[in-house]
Formats: sequence, C-alpha cells, structure tokens
Amino acid sequence: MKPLRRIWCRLLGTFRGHPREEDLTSEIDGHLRLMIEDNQRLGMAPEEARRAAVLRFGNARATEETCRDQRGFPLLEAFFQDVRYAFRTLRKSPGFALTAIVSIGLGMAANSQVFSLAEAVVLRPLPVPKPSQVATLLSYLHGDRPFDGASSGLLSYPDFVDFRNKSKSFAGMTAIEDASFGFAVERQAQPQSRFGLLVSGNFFDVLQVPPRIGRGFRASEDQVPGRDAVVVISHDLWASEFASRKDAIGKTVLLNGIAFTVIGVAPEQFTGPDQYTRAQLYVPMMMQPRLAPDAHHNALEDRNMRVLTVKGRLKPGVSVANAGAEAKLISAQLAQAYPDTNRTFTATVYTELELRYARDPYTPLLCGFMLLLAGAVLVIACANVANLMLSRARARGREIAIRLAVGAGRARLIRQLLTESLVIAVLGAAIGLGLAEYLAWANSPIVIPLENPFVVVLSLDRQVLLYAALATFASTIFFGLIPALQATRTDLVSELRSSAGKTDKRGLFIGRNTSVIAQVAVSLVLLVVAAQTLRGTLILLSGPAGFRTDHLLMAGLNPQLVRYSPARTQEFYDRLLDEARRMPGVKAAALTLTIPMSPQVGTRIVPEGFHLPPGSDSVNAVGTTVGDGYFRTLGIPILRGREFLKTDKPDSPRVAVVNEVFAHKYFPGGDAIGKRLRLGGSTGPQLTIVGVAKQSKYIFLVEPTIAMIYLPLRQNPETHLTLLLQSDGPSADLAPSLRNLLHSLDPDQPLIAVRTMEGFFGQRVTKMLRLTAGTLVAMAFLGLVLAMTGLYGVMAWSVTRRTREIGIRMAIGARRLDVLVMVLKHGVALVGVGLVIGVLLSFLASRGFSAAFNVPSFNVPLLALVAVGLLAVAALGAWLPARRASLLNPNLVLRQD
Amino acid sequence: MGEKKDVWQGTLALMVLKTLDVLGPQHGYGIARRIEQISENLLAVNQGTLYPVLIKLEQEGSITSNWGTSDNNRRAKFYTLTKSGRKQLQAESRHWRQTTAIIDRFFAPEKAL
Repeated sequence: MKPLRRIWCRLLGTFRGHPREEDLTSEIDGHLRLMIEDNQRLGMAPEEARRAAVLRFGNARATEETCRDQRGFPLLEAFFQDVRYAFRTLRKSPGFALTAIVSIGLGMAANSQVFSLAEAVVLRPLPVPKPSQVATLLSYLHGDRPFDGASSGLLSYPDFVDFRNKSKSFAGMTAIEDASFGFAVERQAQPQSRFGLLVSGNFFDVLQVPPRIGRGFRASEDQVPGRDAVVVISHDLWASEFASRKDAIGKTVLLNGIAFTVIGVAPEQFTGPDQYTRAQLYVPMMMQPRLAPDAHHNALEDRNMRVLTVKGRLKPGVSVANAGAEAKLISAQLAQAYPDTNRTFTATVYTELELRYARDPYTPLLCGFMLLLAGAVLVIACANVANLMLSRARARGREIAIRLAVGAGRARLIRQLLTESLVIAVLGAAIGLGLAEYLAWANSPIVIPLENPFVVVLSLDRQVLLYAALATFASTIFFGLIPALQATRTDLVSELRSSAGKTDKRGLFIGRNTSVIAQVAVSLVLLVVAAQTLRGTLILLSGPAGFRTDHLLMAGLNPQLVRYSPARTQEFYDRLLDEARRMPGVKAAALTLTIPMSPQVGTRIVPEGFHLPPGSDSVNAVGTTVGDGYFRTLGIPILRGREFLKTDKPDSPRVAVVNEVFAHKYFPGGDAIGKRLRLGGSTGPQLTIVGVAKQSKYIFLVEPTIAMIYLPLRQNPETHLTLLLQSDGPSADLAPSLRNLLHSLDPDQPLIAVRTMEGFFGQRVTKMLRLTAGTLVAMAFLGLVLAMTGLYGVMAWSVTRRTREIGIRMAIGARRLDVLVMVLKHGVALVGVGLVIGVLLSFLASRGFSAAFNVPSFNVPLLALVAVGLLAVAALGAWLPARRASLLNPNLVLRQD
Repeated sequence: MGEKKDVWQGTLALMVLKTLDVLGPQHGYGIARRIEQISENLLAVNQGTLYPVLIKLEQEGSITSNWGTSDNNRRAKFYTLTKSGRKQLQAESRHWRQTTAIIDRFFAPEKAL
C-alpha cells in the first residue's frame, strides 16, 4: 500500500507542483536561521554564526533540488514541458503541423479501419470470461484435417460423453449443436423460425456465462431424454418478444409445438459460441429426441451421427498441445472399442484462432493482405512527415544550435524533438481513429443474409486501440528519429554564423531522396495491387456466375420444426411443389438442400475406375442434393444427358448429375454419362451418372474450380430444404402468395427467411467484393496523393535550396529551358529509381496475391499503364517547382544577400 | 566534526519516526538536533538526506506537516506522527530489535559458531 500511495502523491506533485515550491525554500531557509540563532546562543558573533551554519548545512539549493525531484516525477514533468513546448511550436507553423497531422491521420485511418475489420472477423475472442482457456475438440475421419473436404470436424454425442468422462485436461466440456426452432409465444400464433443451439446442460458453466436474469441449466436437466422442457433465451429475443420484462422468466413458449418454460436470459454481450451467427434459444441437448424425432437415428446414441461442436475449458496450466495429445489417445481407445463407427476416427484440440483459420483460411489471409497494404499507406505517410521534418530541421537549425550552445544535452534535445513527433503522431492517430470510428459506424453491422444471418459488428474495441497505439509509437520512431538525430548533429560555428549561402549537409539530402524513392516504390505496389484487384473484381462481377441471379425467390422450410414423420414430410413437399408450380406468375419451382454462394456439403465418393490416392479408400467431393426441375429453375444448362426427373424415385436405379470439372477429373478421356461411382465408401450404394451440368460458381465468386456432384432429393431425402421459385415479374411479388399457399397446407409450418436471389447475391457477393475493392482503391489513391505531396515537397525544397546556384547559372547564360530540364531531371530520376524498385516489389506481391486467392495473376500491360501514369503524375509534381525555378530573376536572386 | 558518522540510509527514517514519537510535533531542525544529541554527537544528520526522507514519509502517510511557530517565534514547518506512522514505527522497531539480537548473537564471543 505505502509505495502505491507514494506514487500517487508524486503523480499529484507532478501536476500541482508550483505552490509548494516556496514552501520548500522557506522551510530550508528557516532551518538555516534556527541554526544561526543556536550558534549565536553558543556565543558566536553574528557573521561567524552565519558562516558556521552555512558551512555545516552545505548547499541549500542542491537540497531543494533533491527534494523537488522527490515530490514529483522529474522525467514526467520534463515530458509535459516538452509536450507543451511542442504544441507551441506546432501552432507557430500551422501549415507544417496540418500537413503532417493529416498525413498521419489518413494513414492511421486506413490501418484502424482494416484492423477493426480483421479484429471483427478473425481476432475477436469469444464473448466469455478468460476466452483463451476455451478450446475446441475436433474429429477427423480418414486422416483428413477438420474442414478439409468431407470432414466437418464434428463429434457424435456418445463420443462426446466418453471424452467428457475420460479427459483430464479440461475443467469442463460442453456439446453444441446448431438447430432451427419453430418458435411461438402462444399456441394460436404462426410459428417463426429461430436459430438456436442444443447444448449440454453445463454449457453456461463451462463458458462461465451466468444468465442476466433467471438461471442456467441444472445438472438434472441434462440426464433424461425428453423430460425437461426448459429454455434460456438470448438478450435480443428477450427484448423483442418480452419487451425486456422481468416476468418473462417462468413464461411458456412453444418450440416445434412443444411447451418450454423460459428459465433464464443470456447476458447482452454473449452472442453465442460463434463469431458470426447469433443464437436466440439455448435448449438442453436431452430435448433433441422430442424436438426432432427421427425413426432411423437416435442422435444421443448413434456414434455415426457426428453433428456436435465440442468446446471445453482447459484446466489452468494445461496447454492446447497437451489437451490435443490426450484427445488423440482417447480417440485411439474409442477406435478400438467401437471399430464399426470409429475405425478411422481421430480427435485433436484447436484454439479458437486455429479453429477459425481451419474453417476459413481465406478471410485471415485477405485481412493480413489488406493490413500489409494499409501498413504501406502508413509508411508513405511517415516518409512524408519525415521529409517535412528534415526540411524544417534546416529552418530550425539556428534554434537548435543556440540551445546546444547554451548547454542543452544532445540526448535532451532528441527527446524533445521526438516528443514533438509523438504529439504529431498522437493528433494524427486521433483523427485516424475518428475517421475509422465513423467508417465502422457507417458500415456496421455487415449482415450476410444466410438462413441464420452472419452478423459482423465493427467496433473500435480494446484490441483495435492497442493496435493503433502501437502503430502510433512505431510511426513516431519511423518519421521522428532520423530527423531528430540529423537536426542535432549540427556544426555550431557555421550554424550560428549567418545562414545565407550555406550549403546543406549531405546526410539530409540523401535522407530526403531515399524517402521519395521509397514512397514512389510503395505507392506503385499499392496501385498495381489495387488495379489488379479492381480488374479482377470487375471481371468477376461482369462475368457469369453460372446460375440465375434474377427473378428468383427463395424460402427455407423445415417440417421437422412441426415434427413431421419422414413420410409426411415427403407428402408435404410433393404437394407444396405441385401447388407452387400452379401459382400465377411462377415459371418454374424446385427444392434444394443448399443454394449457390453458401456452404455446400462434403461427400465421400469412390468413382469407378479412378485410381484412389494411396492409403485412402475414397475421395472427397463437394456436393448437394436437389429436386427435379432444379437445373431449369436456376438456369444451369445440362450439357449432356438429362437432369433429375420425378421418375428418379427411391426404388428406381440410383442416379447422380456431376459438373464439368467432376466429369473431367474422375472420368478423363471419355463421356461421363453412364459411368458409375459409389457413395460413402467402397461398400456404399452405387450411382449412375445421368447428366453433366455446366460449370458455375458454388461457394463464392472467388473460388478454385470445384468438382461438384448433385444427388436427387427423392433418392436421398432431406427435411430442411430451400424452395426456389422462378417468377415472371419481380420475384418479391410472389412472397405473399407463397405465404398463403403454405398457410393453406399447414398453418403451423414456419417459413424461414424469405428472400430474393437478387438481394442475397447483392449482399453476399456484390457488396463484399465492392467493399474489398473499394477499400483497396481508396488506399491506393491515398498512397498516391501522399507520395506526390512528398515528391512535390522535395522538389520545391530543392529549388529553394538551389536558388543562388540557379541564379548564377542563369547569369552566366543558362536559358530558362535548361533550368527547367535540370530540375525536372532530378525529379524524374528519383521517380525512375522508385519505379524500378516498385516494379520488382509488385512482382513479388502479385505472386503471393494470386497464389493466395487464385485470381488472374500478374498482368504486364496493367503494370506498364500504372507505371506510366505514376510517372506522368510525378512529372507534374516536379514540373511546378521546376517552372518556378526557371522564372527566377537572376538579378534579384544574386542581390538578395 | 569530521569524525562523525553519516546516518545510514534507511535507518534515518526510523530515527525520525522515533523522535516524533518521543517529542511530539517537531520541525526539521529540531529533529536533526535531537538525533545528533541522542547519538551523543556521533552522528551528523545531513540536511540533504533529512529533507528527502521527510518528504518520502509524508507521501507515504506516516507523518503530516503543518506550519506553526517555533519556541523563539519563528515560522517553521512542524511534522507530526500519524496513526499509520505509529503502527509502522512499532512494526519496524520490533523488526530492528530482532535483527540486532540476531547480529549480537553472531558477535557474542562465548557463543562461537
């Protein structure tokens, strides 16, 4: 406690300081006086007494000095002095201050903006206490990495229970399953589809998220299948359905027609265990059999039903690697105990960051790449400010020389100059953060309208601010240190003499040229990358997606939400499709398991006659299950063979349609029609290929070429489907009649996320690409403007510096044109060197870029265009000062001094 | 005078606290005089050391200071021991006695190691 109190007092002393100063002096003087009086009392003469006392006392002013240092923090005090001084200096040269601060501000804005995006989608930790302790247990089958091809990384309930019982690395493990519920607050109301989670009873305990009001699940509610119908609702749902009233606890709600008691409300900041989707309902896993009865599978007992995400909280001191090793061991035991289901099963443990990267490596890559570019903008901005500071160093040379002459230490001066840089950087950072905050506010939340919408909330939270602080200090050193070092390395004698006609130090000049070259090089890279991305985006946006993106209405359906049996589900879909096709304004209708531009399903297949990779018994393919009329409705041409028909029934021969890449990859050198493959493994059902569909885009516009297999819905029944309606007129007009149709078929059946393909495609694809391309172009433009300002500054300064020289040259016969060419040459030389370096860097950057994103690689005409453009703009930047130089009047110039 | 020993760092604070405990409120000069007297002039209290110690003790809350008038009508700053200072004094004197007792035992001739 005491040392803390002392630090607090000293901090107070640092800021209050002054009134106590006299206090100290009079106290010490008083001490001296008392000593003198005592001496006199001992019989000394007054003068003698004084002499003895002063001798004895020593240096009073030194004592005061020591005491003063004790009262505050002298370094801190000096720092504040420097800050005050910096503000005064900056106010004296507002032009310089403004340019510098705005330069840094723009660079910081680009960085904070991009980092806040990266933070939101990649780095933001789970909204739980001590998030670094939470890790995810993942399975892999057939030796595939999780999320690689067919491997979902998920676990079955019995496997989860075994891991929970055997694991010693985790303080607790919880199982989570994504689920949609037909939700209603009363029996009469039409149920709405809500996204929620089936969770094991310890979910809130493991994540250490106590409910905002009410309670979490009891241990007893996690034991008997189907007994405890209790639900914890999200804060959002509490607000929208219960107006945030406390008496929501204890109310009954209907989930899939079953009465559930609301027992708790999750806290507002807890949006679920995933960074994108937001769960509205949390239901005990034990209720799964009643909510979605399935005659064939019991999810709580079947080891083959791998549908659970398993997260656990590591015990303190246990590393993820240790937990992973233990998981491997346990999975080996399970493989031995249950060979039928677990023969190829292994498990591992990932951190949240590893999980996100494994699930989607493209987003972190893209974010990293954008951060690099934003960093480049900041580097250009810093080079600009460094330039400005170097030219100011000349103007301030006298001031600094005088300070050195009267005894200021070089280190002290450097500290003061760096403080000035810090003030510039901090003010710039404030502007940048302000801009970024505005951009975040304007763009957030980014919603991708999947059935369970992805929501990305941008906010400048702690991590972003920390990053901005680091960037601020880094740029302070970057643009402040070299000018400070150079400015204080002064030749006092020549500096204090009249400055006219003095030549510059070589060091300063080299520093400025180098920074211009660096600026030109980096901005060339920025421009090339931005132009390339823009070109790629335009090609992608104008090129065909390969499927219909207009006149399409989509709606999700899930009869499981009203607990239909498989037979009734089949009947329901048949009737729905028949009626929908008869609706006025409908051209075509079809059912599908997945829609384009969203995640597809991984499937394992064994193509007949294909040489499997050694050591594996099957290969991965991307697939989906679609109904008859799918290809016609989506406008995907069938190149050879036929599409699925109503006659592809469960008892007729099993068939499949594949795309061009699939046909070419697995059945090269021949027609794929009539070829056979097995589904699941070498003993799985045999399918015959009846059609080859034209290649289209499946997951995102930017994707590698995908080998796709389509299975007929009638032979592979699914319950949660999407209905596609092709309309004559605007597709949104069909929505009311679709609702009426569904109501007439079954008033309890919820219609999930009715949306048009135009809207979905616009949000999911066009907006994302535009945002990326827009950000890149903005950064490139920013870089270019900053670099040109820098070039102009250097040229203008060099002309000023050479005024006398130019005057003499003109006096002895140089023509205006000669002067113009001389100055231009200097500028163009700088830009030329910058361009050459930039081109080399672009080659490197472009190679990485196209490797990472599988986009058209480096383009020479584009590069040439950008380089020539940059040269032209740079020439303009050099031309203005050059013209000024050529208009000098040698008479005036030479008489000036 | 040159023979006198300077006070060791650290022990001065303890002496200051003890002095204030015995004499009550006292100004800096008084404290210095008292310490020199008690040490029978074996110690010389350097003002350059004393005042920083007083500031440190005040910042830690062991003593407080007030301006007052000295015996011979001079304005002087008087230091007073606080409650927390008294507690600190007790704790430190106990500690000090323990330390000296241990050291004594080491140097006692009949109880060689």
